[in-house]
Amino acid sequence: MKPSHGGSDKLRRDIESYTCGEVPSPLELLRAPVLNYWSANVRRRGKEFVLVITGDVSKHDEYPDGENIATGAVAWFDRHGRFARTTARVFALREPAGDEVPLEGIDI
Amino acid sequence: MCTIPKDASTRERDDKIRWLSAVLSRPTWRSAFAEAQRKTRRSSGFNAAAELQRAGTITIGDRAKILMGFSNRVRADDPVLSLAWQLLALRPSDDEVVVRAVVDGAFGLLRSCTDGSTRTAIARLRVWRDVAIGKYDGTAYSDDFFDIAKRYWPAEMDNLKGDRMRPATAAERHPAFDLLMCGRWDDAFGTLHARSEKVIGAERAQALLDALSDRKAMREEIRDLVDLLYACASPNDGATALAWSMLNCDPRKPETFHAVMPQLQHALDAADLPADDDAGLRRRLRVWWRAAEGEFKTAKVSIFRFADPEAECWPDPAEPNAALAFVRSTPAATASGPTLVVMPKVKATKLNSFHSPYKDLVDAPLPLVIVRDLARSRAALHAEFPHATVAVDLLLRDLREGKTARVAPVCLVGDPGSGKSRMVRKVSDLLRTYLYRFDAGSSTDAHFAGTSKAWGNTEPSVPMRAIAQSQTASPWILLDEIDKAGTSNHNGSLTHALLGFLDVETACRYRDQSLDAEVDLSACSFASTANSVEKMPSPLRDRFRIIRVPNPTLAHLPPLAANVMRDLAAQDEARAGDEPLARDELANIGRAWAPYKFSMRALKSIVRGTLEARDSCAMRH
Repeated sequence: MKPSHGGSDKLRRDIESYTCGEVPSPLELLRAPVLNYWSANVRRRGKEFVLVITGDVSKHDEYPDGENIATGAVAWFDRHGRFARTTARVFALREPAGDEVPLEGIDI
Repeated sequence: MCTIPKDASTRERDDKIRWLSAVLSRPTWRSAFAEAQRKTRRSSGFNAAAELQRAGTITIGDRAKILMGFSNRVRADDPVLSLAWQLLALRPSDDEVVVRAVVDGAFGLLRSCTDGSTRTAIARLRVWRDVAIGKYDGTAYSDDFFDIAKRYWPAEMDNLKGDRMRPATAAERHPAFDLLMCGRWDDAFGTLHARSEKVIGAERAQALLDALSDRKAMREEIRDLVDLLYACASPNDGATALAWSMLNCDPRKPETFHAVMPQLQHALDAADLPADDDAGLRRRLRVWWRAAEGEFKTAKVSIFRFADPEAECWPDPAEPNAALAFVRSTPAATASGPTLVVMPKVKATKLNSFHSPYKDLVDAPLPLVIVRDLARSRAALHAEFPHATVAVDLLLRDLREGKTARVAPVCLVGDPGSGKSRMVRKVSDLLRTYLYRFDAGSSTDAHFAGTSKAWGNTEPSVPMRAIAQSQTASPWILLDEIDKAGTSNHNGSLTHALLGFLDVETACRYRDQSLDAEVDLSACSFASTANSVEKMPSPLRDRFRIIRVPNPTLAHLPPLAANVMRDLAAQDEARAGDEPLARDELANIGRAWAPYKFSMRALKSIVRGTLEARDSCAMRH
């Protein structure tokens, strides 16, 4: 057993509600930081593994808009790729990476 | 393990086995008796308790006889119930052979349960067996197997840890944890399907089964189902939905893991599980994570197979040889451990189109199979071949714990049916080496050493074929009936072909004429069987260590017959409930066996005949 995370009560409640099929409310998603051109990556933490999401952030308290960041360990990743819940907060996910058309690929 | 779709008879059988496992988990003989009595009364209509009472004050030996009578009466209707009565008739003071015969039958039955956990029952039965073989003196505490098992089964549970079965506490666990313990996708599907049938309704359940043949349709079906389950808005259904989405994880597409792994890890972190259970689940989950990382992109099997520690099957990129099921069960196939380059590039020439399976061997370090648990293997072999313990010891003489599983060339000599080939096969099974059986009796040329590269359809030597098939550097080659090999030298002969392989000195620099490469066969083992050494050419006789396998004698009959009974029970579940052979039956078998010079093959058919005769006149007692 891992020790529970500090202030994890909210997290536990959120996960429970996601397990019941709920998703964050539109208001919550509106307030949440947004990740654009995101991709999910598996990282190793010692023996254990975590899933993190990298992408261009906006509306985050601690980062300037447009900065490319990696989130903390994801505790719930929406199966339709709409949002991700990390230990600390919910991220709203917009465009996934890889779909953007490279400029040099366009024949003008 | 699970088969799908499950038909009604399988389910009914599983129910019966689960009932037996519940009886075995009773704390005392008395409560187990009550349970068996209830069931007998329901199914066969006679009241066992009343009959036992009618018998008045009886000795405990008489009690066993009466219970065996019950067992015979219900056998035709319900073999499992009959077995339960036999188990109830056993006492710790009974003869080891008697106890083992009944308990081994029950083991076979419990292990065959396709779902539901029989693990605790197996652990308890192991205590029964250990008491019977005198591992610990159970009689010092109690004269009741159930009571003794109650005290000691947790310790046996530890020994069962590596078992493929699921742990016993299935009640309130997250369904995903049960799924993690499954060794195959099919098992996982079966487990989950049975579990969610009620929630999703019969129609949907059938649709899932229908989609089984089409992988793409299956994925769609599961995706819909997951949405449906989440829409139920209950924590249990949500948990089941997560478990279902695990089935859509494909190691070839790591992104399919992304929406599963964080949830799964969180569920495991939040669950309060017993330490060993938790550790096992985490170990498996780490393999899932590695798949999510993209480590197994070239895999050909499901993630469940990877995560199963019993079935090590790490992928070999661009592995062309499909017949590699063996490697998956070889612990040595994992990356760590000693290796040997069988085909160094510097000593190889260009391979031609017939040699495509061998291209990967060039300069490839192939794993050497390492001897593990030699003492246990030795004990298992002694139990299986009680008449040939000396031969077993001689055969294992070269093996050292932690070293390569290689023996110098040996030749087992003995009468037909004394168990020579079986012994070699068993040894190789226990060592987990690959066994390539070569029928020397039908060999009339030098094909063993392969055919020249100049010929069409050229084929490498047998040891190289074994190495390529096993992808290990240390396969075993069994030359069966070597004394019956053709002696003509017209197309070369097996004898001459063999000589180059049998000495380490030449084998480690053997030039394979088909591959035209110098290969290192020093880790290959050669075992042969023969009925007599007189007919063997002397160059072979010199190179093989001769081990004589004696015939069994009448004294070995009880354990050997018990072994045969266990083999029969393993092949045929209806035989699992057979009671051990009685003294008079053993005496008859002994009389019938002697004219066959105590051949093991003969013993098997005699025992089978005895059991069939017993069935045909069922009321023997």
